[in-house]
Amino acid sequence: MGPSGSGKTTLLNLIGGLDRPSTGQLTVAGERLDQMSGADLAHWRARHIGFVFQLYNLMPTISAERNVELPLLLTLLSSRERMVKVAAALELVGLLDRGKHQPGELSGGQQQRVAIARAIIADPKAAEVASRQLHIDKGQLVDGSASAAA
Amino acid sequence: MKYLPLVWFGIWRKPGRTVLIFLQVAVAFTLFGVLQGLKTGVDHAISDTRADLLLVFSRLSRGEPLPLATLNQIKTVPGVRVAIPVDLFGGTYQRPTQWVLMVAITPDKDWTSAFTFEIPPAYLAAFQTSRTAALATEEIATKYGWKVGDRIPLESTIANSDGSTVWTFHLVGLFHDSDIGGGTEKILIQYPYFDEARLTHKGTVNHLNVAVQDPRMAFAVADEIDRRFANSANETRTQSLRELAQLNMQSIGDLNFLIRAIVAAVLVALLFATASMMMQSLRERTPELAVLKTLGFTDRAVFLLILTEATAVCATAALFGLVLAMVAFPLASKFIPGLSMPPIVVGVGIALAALVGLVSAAVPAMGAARIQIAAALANR
Repeated sequence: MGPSGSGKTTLLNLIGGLDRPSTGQLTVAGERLDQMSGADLAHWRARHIGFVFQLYNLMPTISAERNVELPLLLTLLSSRERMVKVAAALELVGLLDRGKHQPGELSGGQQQRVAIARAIIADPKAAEVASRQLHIDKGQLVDGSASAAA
Repeated sequence: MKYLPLVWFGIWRKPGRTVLIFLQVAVAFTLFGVLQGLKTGVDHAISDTRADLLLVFSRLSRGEPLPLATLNQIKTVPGVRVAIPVDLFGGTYQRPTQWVLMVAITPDKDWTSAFTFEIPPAYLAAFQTSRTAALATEEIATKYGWKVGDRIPLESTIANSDGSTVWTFHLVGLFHDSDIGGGTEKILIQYPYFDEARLTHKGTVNHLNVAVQDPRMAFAVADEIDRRFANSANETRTQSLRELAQLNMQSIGDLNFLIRAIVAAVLVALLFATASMMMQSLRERTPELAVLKTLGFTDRAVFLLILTEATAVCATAALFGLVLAMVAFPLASKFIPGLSMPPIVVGVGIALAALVGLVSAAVPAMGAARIQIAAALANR
């Protein structure tokens, strides 16, 4: 919490590896992000960070399941393995039957759940946390700017 | 392979724009294919032209007559197999606009070997039996509705011995001329009859057709003929039919240069048009590309993704354009026989299209790769 312009978004961007500090050191989970190259930082984000944006930022031209699959394209999983994980993630957020739909065909809440599925799919621990949270309240999952599930 | 769906959906993000790019590339490569086919057709036609058939004209100009007496001297040149005198004069059929070329030849033994005419044996025999006999090309016979057996009156500026300028011939058959540069609206008549019947220019010919014994000797024979008439009142210029075909082509300009210049201009225009559309497309996609980078796609991956999209569209459109050009060939081959597209042209066409795609997408793709995620997501 803080007043406008106090640096909340900048801090989250730095922690999420989306931005780099102009000076100083930045260590997240024991890794020096300020010393990483652009490619290393991208790999680090793929391995450790799941993002759910305020406006969900789903790719509008591809289906929900393709959106959820995106982070897995960066792994060595086969197509079959990716689809199994995508189905599990969509089931977790209760959208297994909406996987073939494009974001424009989904409600705001459904889009949000697709974004959550995309954020957790590459990280089994995050999936477990999200699963517990979902069981508590499927309607009010995440509400904020960008939340990182590490 | 796993990125293919991403590429596919990227291509079809704005179907209207993709179709426009596709069409402009396809049209450009249809033109490329047709021009290359034209070049191949012309090369093919020239290489099919006989190199063993020499035409002896006056050195002054092709319209200057040569005395018939040159025939006997030419026949004595080593390597000459058949030499036939040829005279040409024009006439009209029924209307002043219906022009007919009359080709007067002497039907000596084996005379057809000194020409590119294909004449059925029955018509050939009939032609030799009558002095006023004529053979017409299939094209002109069809055009004017002539049938074998018809009498054909032709009006000419050359008067015959009775003072009339109307020449009447008996159509005894049809023929086909395989020389595509020779024109189709012509008839063959007998030179002895024509020369005897005309009032002026008796004993002259327009040129002589010479068939050589060995095609490899054609240049030597041509040189020897010209050497024999050097410094005489009737100096000659002897060229093979193939040489004449090449000269005719050169007279309209350097076809290769013209084709390359047109293709280069089209490709440059295409490059700018495609690059501008790609830039517009990527500006619209900045937030989506920022999301991809957020999820862990590297700058290089985003760069390659954009390049693949552009190259796929351009190469597919080029292939489509080249197929269109090939479909157009049967229609165009009525005018230029031998049109074809060698596999190398297809390969070069697709490679050029890929190059257009790569170059036009390179700058926008670099821009996309350098997107600052935080700024792009905040629409800054």
